Amino acid sequence: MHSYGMPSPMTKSMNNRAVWIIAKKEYSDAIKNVLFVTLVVFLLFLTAVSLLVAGFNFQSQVAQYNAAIAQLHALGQTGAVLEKPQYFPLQMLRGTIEYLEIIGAIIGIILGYISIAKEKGNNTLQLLLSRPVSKLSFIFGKILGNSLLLASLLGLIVLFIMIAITGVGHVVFLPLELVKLFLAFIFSYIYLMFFYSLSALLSLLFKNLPNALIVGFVIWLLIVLVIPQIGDTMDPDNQIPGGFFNSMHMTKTQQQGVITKFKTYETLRNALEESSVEKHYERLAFATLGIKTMYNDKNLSVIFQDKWGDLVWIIGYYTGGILLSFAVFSNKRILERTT
Amino acid sequence: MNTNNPVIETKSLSHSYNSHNALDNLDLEVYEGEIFGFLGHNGAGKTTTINILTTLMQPSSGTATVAGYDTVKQSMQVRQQIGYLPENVTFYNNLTAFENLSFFARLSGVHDVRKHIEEVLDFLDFHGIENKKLGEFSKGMRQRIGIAQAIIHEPKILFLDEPTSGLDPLGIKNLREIIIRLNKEKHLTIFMNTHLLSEVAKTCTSIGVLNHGKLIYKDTLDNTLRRFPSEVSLEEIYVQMEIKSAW
Repeated sequence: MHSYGMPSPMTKSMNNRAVWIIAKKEYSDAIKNVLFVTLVVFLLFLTAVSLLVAGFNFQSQVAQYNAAIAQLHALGQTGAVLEKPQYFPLQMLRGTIEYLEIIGAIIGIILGYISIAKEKGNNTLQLLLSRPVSKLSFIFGKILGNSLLLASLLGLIVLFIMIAITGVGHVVFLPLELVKLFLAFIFSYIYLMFFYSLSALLSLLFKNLPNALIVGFVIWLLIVLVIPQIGDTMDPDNQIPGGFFNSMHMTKTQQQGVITKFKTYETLRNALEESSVEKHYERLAFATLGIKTMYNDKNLSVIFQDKWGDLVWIIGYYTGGILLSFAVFSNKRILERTT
Repeated sequence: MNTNNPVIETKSLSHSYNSHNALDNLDLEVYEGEIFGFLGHNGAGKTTTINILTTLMQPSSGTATVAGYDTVKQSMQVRQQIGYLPENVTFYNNLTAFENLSFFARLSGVHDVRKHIEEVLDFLDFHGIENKKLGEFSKGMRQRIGIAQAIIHEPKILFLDEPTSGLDPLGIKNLREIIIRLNKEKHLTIFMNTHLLSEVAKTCTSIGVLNHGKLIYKDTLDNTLRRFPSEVSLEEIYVQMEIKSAW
């Protein structure tokens, strides 16, 4: 015979334990998932290719410079008028950031979908929620597990980059460059987690799971490809290779004068770009890594003074996505429909 | 085994989905040590009842207590006292039987996980499957894993939602024997939603009949069979109740 009625003091601590148990399972499930592993390998391959291409590109610049100097010397002139190509290792990461924008976002979407779909598809959500696990512990465990997973993935990419640039290219990173590299990958983590939470949110909301994935990819398409492309196309300075204003030899004041005359147009174009988390991430990462040349030799305070808006935006998207996931999962009606 | 202590008690329990009343003022008592068979047609409200009792849902009105705890205000305490096997659960196919059981055991706060798993599998006479992935399991084997996960943390009350659904006759017989042994040897109170009247007659000690969210009948199986002429099967009794209720 059993006795009933004694409340258990374990309930609260057990929930913390549950968060870790769920997080650990999320991590191990994902690294056993063929699709996830394939995407990670693909991303690493593209990272390697982008570094290789950047390396060849720099070599070709150096070769062109040396050829030009040799020609000038042959003509009896010095090469002082020519600017020697400078090597900035972080600028080689342009391709990596661009691939993270696209493939990284897909990885986030796939992880978010798998994370919820496996529970809904197998009816294990009911089992999990009939255990002494609060709804918040459940969703927090999921988010924590996938956060650790994405952090590991980005850590692997950073390690790969450092081995490639330091080991193969024999370049030693300066301490400031290491800090910038670290910051860029924190921004990447925030960006990827936004797509994770978006996809998890959709998978919670939609009764029909494939629809959640389809909607997730439509949003990805809009955010990552369509909106930034429209924004770029509408940019007057992008109409001519090398820049419209540059080719017209306009000063900064003259450029601003022209843009002022197209204020509504420029506001609309800017609003489009502002609506895309990808654009904010790109602006921030490009500035931090010095890919945007004007920030190349700038210290972090100057970069953040200029780019704090983009930082606020990506943190806003990230926080919004996670808070919405919590809110949806705590919604009685949605959970009833799910279980 | 009935000790006259209701371990499951609902008072005026109602639940509605939009404008549809799934449960209508359900007053129900299930006593300690019973195997309670909850009968009803599709959409009668059986799964809604089990979802409320297992704390997965909150009722629109009324109260429910399980093992003395309120299912809304003390949901965590309720969850510590119950084991649950939902209908059509497939578990994690990519994990082995051991990994599946270990995950649910640890979530329930079980410490010596390996020992508990061995004990439970031994009780279910289910050997040599620990390292096999669940993707390779038949429906009957999955149900046994389902029972194993539901009792791994030694709950006091076991909820089963259509446990025989999709099983072949041998699987049904095996499951029936397990349910009876769980009740007799592990002293579990069992609350079972089912369609199979033949199983109720062979397994349950008391029954309740739900019709369009209302409880139209509840008594022990013995009393039920005594009340009706001996030549009438439980199936016929059930049909009579349903027809009567419809009128």
